[in-house]
Amino acid sequence: MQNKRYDKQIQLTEIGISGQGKITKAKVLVIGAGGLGCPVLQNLVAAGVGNIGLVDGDVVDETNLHRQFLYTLEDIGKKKVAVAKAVVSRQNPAVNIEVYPNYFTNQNAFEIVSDYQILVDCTDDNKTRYLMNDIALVKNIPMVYASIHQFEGQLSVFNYQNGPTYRCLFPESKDLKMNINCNDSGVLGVLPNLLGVMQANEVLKIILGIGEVLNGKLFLYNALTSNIQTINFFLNEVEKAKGIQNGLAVLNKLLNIGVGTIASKDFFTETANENNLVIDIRETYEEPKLEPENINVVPLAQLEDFLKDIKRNQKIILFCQEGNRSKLTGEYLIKKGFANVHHLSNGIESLLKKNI
Amino acid sequence: MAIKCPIKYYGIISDIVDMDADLAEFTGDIPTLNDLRVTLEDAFPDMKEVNYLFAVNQTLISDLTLELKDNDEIALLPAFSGG
Repeated sequence: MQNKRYDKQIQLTEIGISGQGKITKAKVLVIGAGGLGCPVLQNLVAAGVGNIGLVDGDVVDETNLHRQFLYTLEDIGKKKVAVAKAVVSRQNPAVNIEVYPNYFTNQNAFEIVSDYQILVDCTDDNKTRYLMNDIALVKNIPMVYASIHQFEGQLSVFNYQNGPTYRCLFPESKDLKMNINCNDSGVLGVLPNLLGVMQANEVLKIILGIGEVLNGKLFLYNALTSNIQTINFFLNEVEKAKGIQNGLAVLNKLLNIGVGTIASKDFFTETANENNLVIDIRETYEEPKLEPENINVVPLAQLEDFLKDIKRNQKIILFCQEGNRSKLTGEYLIKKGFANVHHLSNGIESLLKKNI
Repeated sequence: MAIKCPIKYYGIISDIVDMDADLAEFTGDIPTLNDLRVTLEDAFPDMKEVNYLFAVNQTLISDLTLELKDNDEIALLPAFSGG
């Protein structure tokens, strides 16, 4: 027989038994187990979110205790994720909690995100936020964002049903002087707790498909003045493309994807295949020309523009005169997120030799 | 005719200008958002070091050539990083 733990939320007509079923099946990844991460985790666990991942490489410090209520004096020096799991598992043993005692980086991001359906951003640095955003874009899952500065908080949901992304709101800038984390600038414990609870609320709305998600809306709160404001923002396709490109580049590097080679004997079979995108990257004055219809002549200066609408998993075959430029160009395209790039290893000249 | 626009400053921008809110007054030509940006960054050069965005009447504006109207509510918003 089902326990009574969730009766009060099941009573809400917007939730009901079917809603509780959605909550139980949900897979949510909480990145950061600090000021935001603690309340997010506590609220998701209490609501019965069935599968929760928690990522953080940090250990408990005494200065955390005024705002991170999962930890006590005895926990100082212990891994946050291990302590957090032990505490919330007592609160609700039915929840499956996976912990990742590392920081979220290019190297582990895809492996950790795996099949989680929602990312919750509880980090305190913007570099990780861009990474999280870009992985969320590649995986096509939403990211629930919150962040604080002294007495002010921001909250939003990115990449929800193809809505705007973190980059659409804050395009990445090389200048990171603004990147002060709350260790440096001071924080009153109530603020991250308040924002974390609101993040959990957004997560539950997404899982349940009820209410209005903060999609394309930046919620602002000032704890000193109690001033609340919501700013509307929109999808910026250029910024979204940058995010997808970076996310795919992280993935390609992880998969150790390199430029494939095509031997001269196979070249015409490959070029005849209309599924392949074959590109002659030589300058227009270079001879000899190749005639087959399936060959696109795109000198380097025009290549980026030519590829802008091409899917990142499209098989691309590049060739040049001797194979050097096509290899370098292929490596560049992989950095740009293309995952299936090949080149004619010794260039056009290898074809000519064969014909002699 | 003078144009007056209330401005709200958020996060590190409000630390730099040392206020939460202000009223901007423009005389002469119709001001653009970029005119406001230049005026503020001249007065507070530290703002140039910060990645921030403008909202006008609660909507993010990326085109700074937008002409301001009397009573437009302007907000300067940097990304926060704490958590």
